[in-house]
Amino acid sequence: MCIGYDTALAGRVDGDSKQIAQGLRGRDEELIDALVGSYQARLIRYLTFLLGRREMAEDVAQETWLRVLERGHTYDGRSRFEPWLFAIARNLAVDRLRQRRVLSFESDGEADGRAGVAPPVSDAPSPFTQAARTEDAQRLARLLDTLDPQYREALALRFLEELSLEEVSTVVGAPVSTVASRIYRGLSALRSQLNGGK
Amino acid sequence: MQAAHEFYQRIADSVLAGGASAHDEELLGEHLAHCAACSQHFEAGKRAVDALRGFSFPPDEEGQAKVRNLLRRHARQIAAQRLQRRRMAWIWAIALVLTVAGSFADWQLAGLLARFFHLRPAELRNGLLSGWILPSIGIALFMPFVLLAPSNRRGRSI
Repeated sequence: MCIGYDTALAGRVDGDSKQIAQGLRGRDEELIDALVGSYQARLIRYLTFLLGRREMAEDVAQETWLRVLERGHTYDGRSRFEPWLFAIARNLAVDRLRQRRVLSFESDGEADGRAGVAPPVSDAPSPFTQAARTEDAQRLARLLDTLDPQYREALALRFLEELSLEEVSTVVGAPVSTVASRIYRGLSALRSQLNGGK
Repeated sequence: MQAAHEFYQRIADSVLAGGASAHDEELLGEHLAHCAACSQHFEAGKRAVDALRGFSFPPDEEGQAKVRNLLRRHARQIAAQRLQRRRMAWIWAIALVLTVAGSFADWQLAGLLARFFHLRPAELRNGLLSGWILPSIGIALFMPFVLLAPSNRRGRSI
């Protein structure tokens, strides 16, 4: 089996969701390699926007691919592959956040007899500051750190992953109107930041 | 006047989000041609979207290779597990056939033994049924739930 993926495979991945479904049902290793090549960077970008942490995004992305391998037969190829992939990633990310909350709750309780205090703020540099390549992106980086993850997620899925509103709604499991509202609010926050916080 | 701006700015957001109808887009286009405030709002929205695209998360080749290796290993594990479960299913099927055949033979033998030892066949058969045949068939039927139960354990550390 080849490690890199060639252009023919990339075409298979980009073009035909039926072919992807068929390959996933048969656990076609070459196809899965090609899927990793095509979608890993996008998956990490989406998860970073959702989780706000690069390392956690990488962990969850890895777990997502394992899930794709195990449950690939549930993808029927009738809709695009991306929303299905992002929905799996989202479920795993939400599970991971819940686990973290439980762990932090337990360790806080053990440490000082209190429970429910906020987890300590990480000293790690913001993934958004590190990823900002333009002047405007740098202006937004700090805001993105503090923006509600639901807004960040909706903005990333719509404008970076270029999913339709219906697809975003499928991924996040919320009505289209809710998704649209999150996008408007997110855009409004970004717009204010770019206008100097007016 | 403010209400009109709010109306068109909401349409502008909807256009940016990709949820506006062709009619709304047309309406907005006409309004933007002569409204500086709404044009500014729309342009600021487009700038925000462009700024979002200014974040780059370059693919990490090493990370991808790691994921691919992990997937290959995991695919092999899944294949081995499937093979093992298929073997278990065969073993169970054979065990069930042997149990049923053995129980039938015991049943027949009980009649002969009852005659030989001058016992009542019904009592001997009832004892055989409750003490041997039903428990062994019960265990044989229960076995697949133990042997073929899906394993939820999955390696997480990489």
